[in-house]
Amino acid sequence: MIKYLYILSFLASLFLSAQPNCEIYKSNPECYKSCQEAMTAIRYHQGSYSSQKHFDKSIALCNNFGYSYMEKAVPYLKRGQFIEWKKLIDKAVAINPKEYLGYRGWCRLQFLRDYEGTIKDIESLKRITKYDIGYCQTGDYHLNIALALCYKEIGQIEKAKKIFYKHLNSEITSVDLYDYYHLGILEYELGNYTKALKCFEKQIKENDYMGETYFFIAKAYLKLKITEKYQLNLIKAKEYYEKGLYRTDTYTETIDKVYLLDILNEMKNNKQ
Amino acid sequence: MKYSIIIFALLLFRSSLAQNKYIDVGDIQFNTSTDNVNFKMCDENNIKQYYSRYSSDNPAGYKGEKRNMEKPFLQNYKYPISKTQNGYITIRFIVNCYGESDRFRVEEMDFSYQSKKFNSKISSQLLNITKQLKNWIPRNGNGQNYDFYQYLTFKIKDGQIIKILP
Repeated sequence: MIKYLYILSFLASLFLSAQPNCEIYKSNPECYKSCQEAMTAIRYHQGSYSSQKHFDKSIALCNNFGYSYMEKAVPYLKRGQFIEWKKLIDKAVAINPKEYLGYRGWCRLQFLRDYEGTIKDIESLKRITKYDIGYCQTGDYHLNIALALCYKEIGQIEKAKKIFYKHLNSEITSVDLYDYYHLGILEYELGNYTKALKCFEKQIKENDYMGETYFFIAKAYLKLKITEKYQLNLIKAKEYYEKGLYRTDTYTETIDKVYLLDILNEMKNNKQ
Repeated sequence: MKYSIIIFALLLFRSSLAQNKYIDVGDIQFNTSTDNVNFKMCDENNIKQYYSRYSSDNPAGYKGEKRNMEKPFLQNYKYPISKTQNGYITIRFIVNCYGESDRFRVEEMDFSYQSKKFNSKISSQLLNITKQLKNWIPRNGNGQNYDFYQYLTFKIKDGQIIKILP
């Protein structure tokens, strides 16, 4: 049952920024037209002159239609024009904070590693949300985990750890594809190498197509001075990588990313 | 003579209006004062984004992945610690189908996403190193290479590079 609730919550978050149903605006003719303009806008190539023009029309018709600000902002974000992105997304958030705070927070983390900004947005969302705060835009992380990752990056590791365990031990949430990988790295950074290894073990059970996990397993064994396992896991990390088994993202570097060069350098620097 | 100058100026104005009329978000148009006139593209009307791809394509990238691209910045960038130099510097540019780059544009902002000006020694170093990156891999599909838009964002704290994105 819990799993089903989790899946429902996950799907709900995926549709959070899905296209709106214009019929619900029928009582307000201008906003209804605005919504229809937005639907026209998304038929064009994202970021194209025509698409942006229709979003402008949509905004002019109903200036509290947050969806059009958010969608108009997206190509600026993806193409590195962050000042313009922020102006537009701030308007969407001001109109509908419950819908867009988590989204903005995630984008700040994914595209700019703006940890403080993400924390501010997700904490604000938590204050105004009575139910589950949902998932990030890519669906990879629950926003609680994104929050924990940000606290870790600004040095509040104990706080990050507390959020991680609270989330992972909660009855209403579930473990996602990369949660134990990041928790394992957190434990590793705290010097808890045996705990880190347990996390990586869980990570492999959850999702065993990442060379990155074996890289950190190797590093934990090195700290524990178990040389043979260090070497074996480093070789495994390299093999996984060479088979294409590593994390990728279309837009940005993933969090706690390990590259092939990191594995090769580790091999070179610690040649036994 | 006076009239010919006015007519010429009007024509230039009209042509620049026409040029700007239908541009997409992020498009970088040729600027005679900053861009290399010899920079050639395979198809100027079909410049892809670094992230756009079809499943059968080999995506755009950098030889040795991002870690290799970061190296010259981490090795060559030098600036003393300065409490006033904080924020992001983004350099947008085009990589042509041969892996060469040009049309660099710089945008600077503080941590509140407000436009700001960094010390020019910071931005010029980042721009110069970006211009020297030689290992770009163009997107390839159906045996054909494509020109593409790329950007690099530098998160700067106290004058130091703390992260290179994306």
